[in-house]
This record gives sequence, structure tokens and C-alpha cells, in this order.
Amino acid sequence: MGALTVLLVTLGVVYWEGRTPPPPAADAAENTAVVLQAGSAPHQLPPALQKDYDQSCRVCHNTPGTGAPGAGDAAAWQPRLEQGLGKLLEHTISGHQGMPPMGMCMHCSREAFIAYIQYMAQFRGGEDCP
Amino acid sequence: MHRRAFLQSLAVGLAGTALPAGALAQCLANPPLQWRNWSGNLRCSPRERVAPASEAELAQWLAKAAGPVRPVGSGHSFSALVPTDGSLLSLGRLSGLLRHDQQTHTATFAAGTLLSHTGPALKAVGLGLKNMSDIDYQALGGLLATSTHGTGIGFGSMSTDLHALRLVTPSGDILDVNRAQTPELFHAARVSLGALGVLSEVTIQCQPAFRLREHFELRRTEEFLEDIKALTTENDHWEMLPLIHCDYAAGVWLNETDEPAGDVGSEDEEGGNEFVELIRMLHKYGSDFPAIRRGIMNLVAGNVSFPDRIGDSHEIFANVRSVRFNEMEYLVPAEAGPACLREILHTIHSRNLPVWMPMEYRYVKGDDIWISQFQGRDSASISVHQHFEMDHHNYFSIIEPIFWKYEGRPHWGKYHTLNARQLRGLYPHFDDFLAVREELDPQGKMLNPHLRSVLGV
Repeated sequence: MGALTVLLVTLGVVYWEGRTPPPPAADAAENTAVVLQAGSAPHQLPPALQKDYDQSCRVCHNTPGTGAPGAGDAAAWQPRLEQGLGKLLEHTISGHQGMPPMGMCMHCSREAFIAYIQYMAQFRGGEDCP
Repeated sequence: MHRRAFLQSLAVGLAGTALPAGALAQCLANPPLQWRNWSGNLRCSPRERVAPASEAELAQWLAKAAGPVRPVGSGHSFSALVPTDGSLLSLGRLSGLLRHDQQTHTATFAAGTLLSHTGPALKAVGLGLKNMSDIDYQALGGLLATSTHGTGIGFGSMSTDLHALRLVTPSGDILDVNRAQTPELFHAARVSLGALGVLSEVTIQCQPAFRLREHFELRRTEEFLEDIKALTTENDHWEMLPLIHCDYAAGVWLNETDEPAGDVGSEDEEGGNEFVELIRMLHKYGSDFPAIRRGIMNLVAGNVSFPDRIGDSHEIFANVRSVRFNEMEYLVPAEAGPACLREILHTIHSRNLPVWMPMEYRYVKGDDIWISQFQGRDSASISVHQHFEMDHHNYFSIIEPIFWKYEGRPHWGKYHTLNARQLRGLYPHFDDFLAVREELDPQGKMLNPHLRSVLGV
């Protein structure tokens, strides 16, 4: 009985942690003049960028369960886009939580990272840059 | 191709991309990108980043490079092998299976190929790697240069499976290296820290494609240690992940099987990621109450079970690690492993060190590679991890002397504080390696401060 109680308490902690809302996107509204819409502009990567995408981004963003927002998953990308493209680019370059710095593409440029974000979130636009 | 034209061709995304003009203009005006490794504990601001798309381009560029030059694969090393203020040479565009031989079961990959990409490519031609590390984000060139390994007392590091390689020297020459024709260079270049030049191609001894059954079970750590001989000799691959502030460890058994592949589970469940998350939360809420935390940890650990998984070898060997960390790993003589592990766990527990990530305990067969951590002795691999957002320096500085006490050799790609003065005494062929390095790179084009420190040049 005691063991069961402790287990239930533990599971309760886990549940409570799981339902804790994520911190609000800091100054999201101030960071971007236009709220970007994931899935609003379907497009393909240009061939020049495809191989680097396959070598780096695809490893996590096309693998379910890695914690990374999936390529083309508008619902997963929308709350991230609301932080502004600049914040996403900063996370891409510097790393963020499970996301490794530079997304493991050691030679990719800022422009390429922006193109990959646009491709995975399927949108156009975003004028800010860290 | 002229150098300028070549370098221009390396710029990514300038052709065919539909970028917002404002963002592009603004971003181009920013300073060069700072490089960071996977965990973020290392960073540098290289003068330039280059990524040749062929061996010929690599050789042409390297011949003219002023240096310093440091090659980078996926940036998964925690030691400062990569950082440079010179040229950062990405292997990212040298990737893919180039050829294979069904008779000898060998396969040749471009050196920038990610380990995670080798499995499907090899399976398509009926082959599989004999052993793999449990993380597969690394590029082949980097993991081979640091003697990266899996587990199994009958299996050497992945560098021991190198059948041949092609090395682009700092002067731009391309050398074919193998045991029969260039034995000294073969001993030096299979684990080279990227100090001899840049690997362009690696030919790996594989085996016919096979499946593995994974069994994952928690038992008391002492129970595992008392049964260690049977566990390591009666299984193809066995390792354990000792839990911190807990009496239990997660054991992982991997054995070749003819049984059909089943559901290999979600990526989240691989390697017990959900269990790791549970441990993290217990640390968060229970670190001020160590006795209660330990009781809960033991209770939970004693009551969880995991289903077996059967799948293609590459799917089972490697796990998704969705939590970033910093790591220190030492290799101690195999027979010293249990005592070393016990002392580390005792130290963590008795000092209530602020850490929650499990340790890792593996076995690796000895080899004959000059500066491989496993040179001349079967080894127990013991790793300590710290979440990437938590301070690792204090933790590692307390644990590292314990490894020294057991004649440990640091993993070249993991955090350590040794320099050439200590390392020379750990490697009988240390000076043989230095002689080859001096011959290939007398000007030190491939050296950065870390390499100058660990090699003493």
C-alpha cells in the first residue's frame, strides 16, 4: 500500500509537470510586425539546398518522436513562428533545448537556415534577423 | 577551379532560394557565424568555413590553405578538437555510400557520412556494421578519428573495423592507407584526432545484414556487478546505465537473432528517454530531500519494465537522445571497471553531487591502434554525463581523479584535462604517432591549441 502511494505521488508529480504550461513566447508580438502563418505557403527546397537538408535537418525534423517539430507540421511550427523568425534563427544557430547548434550543418549560412525554417514550417516572409 | 570561384561555390543558399530581400540583406551584413559543438560547451569564430564537395576539391583547397585548419563532422565531441580561429573544414558535403564488395563484406563511405545514414544504405546492399555506438549523430570521419565505440567485450572500437582509408594530407596529397601496404600509417591514421590531415573515404569491414534483440531491464547495480563476467561474455553486447542517487541500473542486452523484426517502438521510448525524463523531474523536485528521492527512485526502478525490441541492427544499436548533455568518459582496464564504478557512485552519493543523468558502463575489446584508448588492453568504458544547462566542471573535476587512480585513458572526444605530459605515459606508441604527424604536417597546419596541448607540439 505504501509503495502504491509513493508511486501514485510520483506519477502525480509527473502529471503536474506535464501539464505545466510552457513559458509564454517572450515579447512575441514585439519581435515581429507580422504574425507568420505556418503552412501558409507550401513550397519545395531548391535543389542547391536539398543535400545539406538531408544531411542535417532531416535527421531530426523528419523523424517522429525526436522532439523536433516535423517538417510540414504546421500545428507544431505555429507557436514557434509566433516568437518571430529572428528567435527561431537564433535557436538554430546557438542551439535550444534538444536542438543542437547549427542543426548539425557546420557550413550552412544564415540564408540557408532561414530557407530551411521556411521550408519546414511552409511559409514565406519574416524580415527580422538576430 | 580557381580558389575564389571554389569558395564562392561553397556559399549555401545563394542560388534558387526565395528569401525575403530584407532578411537576406540584413543577415548578410551580420558578422560570421560563431560555431558551437553539439552540447554548446565549445565555441569558436573561424575566419572561414568551407565545405568541399569532392575529394579533389578538398585536396586542392587543403594544399593552398594557410592554416590552422580543423575538420569538423557533426560537432559531437566535447573535447576541444574542433575550435579554431582559422579555417573550419566541414565534411558535410562528402557523404554517402560510394561502393561495396559483397565478397569481402566491405563498404566504402565518404568520410562526412553520418553514422545514422549508414544503416539504411548498408541494409539496401545486404550488409550491416558489426557494432555501433549508441548515438548515431556523428560523422564517420570524426567518430573514427576519436576511436568511438559501442559495447561488447568481443568488439573493438569502430576504428578497428577500418579496412582501409584515404587520407588527404595537409600538403594536399591523397594517400591510400591500409594494413598491408602502409602499416605504420595505418596504425597512426585509424585514430588520428584529425591531426594528420583529413579523411576523405573510409572502407569499413561489415558483415551480412542482421537483426538484434534488445532486452532492457532494471536491477540493482551491485547485482549487475556481481554477475559481470557472465553478462559480458554470454551476450554479444551488454551495457548498463547506473542511475544516480539510486541503487539501480538499467541493463541493456543486445544479441543477434533470426527472429522476425517487430515493433521497435517509438523514438521517444528508445534508450528509455521517457524514463530519463522521469528521473529529471525527481531531481528537480527531490534534490533537497535526498533520502526521500532515493527511496522513490528505488521504488520506481524496481517496478518498471520494458518490452523487448527486435529490429535491424542499425535500428537497435543506436538510440535517439533528445536531451543534450556534456560528457566525460575514461577507459580503464577491464578488470578495474567494477571497482572504479563503485568508487564513482560512492563519491556521487556521499557528496550528494548535483547530477541526475545516468552514467554509462560498457566494455570494449583491446586493439593495436597507436593512440586508441583501447590500445593493448580490453577496457571498461565509464561515462559521466551532466545536462547541458547544468555546470559540469565541478562534477567532472571531482570524478576525473578517480579515473586516474585506475590508470584510465580519456576518450579523445570527451571532456578531460590531461595534456601530453600525462598522456605520453598512457600510450606506448605516443611518440610513434608524433613522428608520423611531424612527417605529414611539419608546419602544424592541422593543429589548434587543444591538439598542441594533448600532443605536446
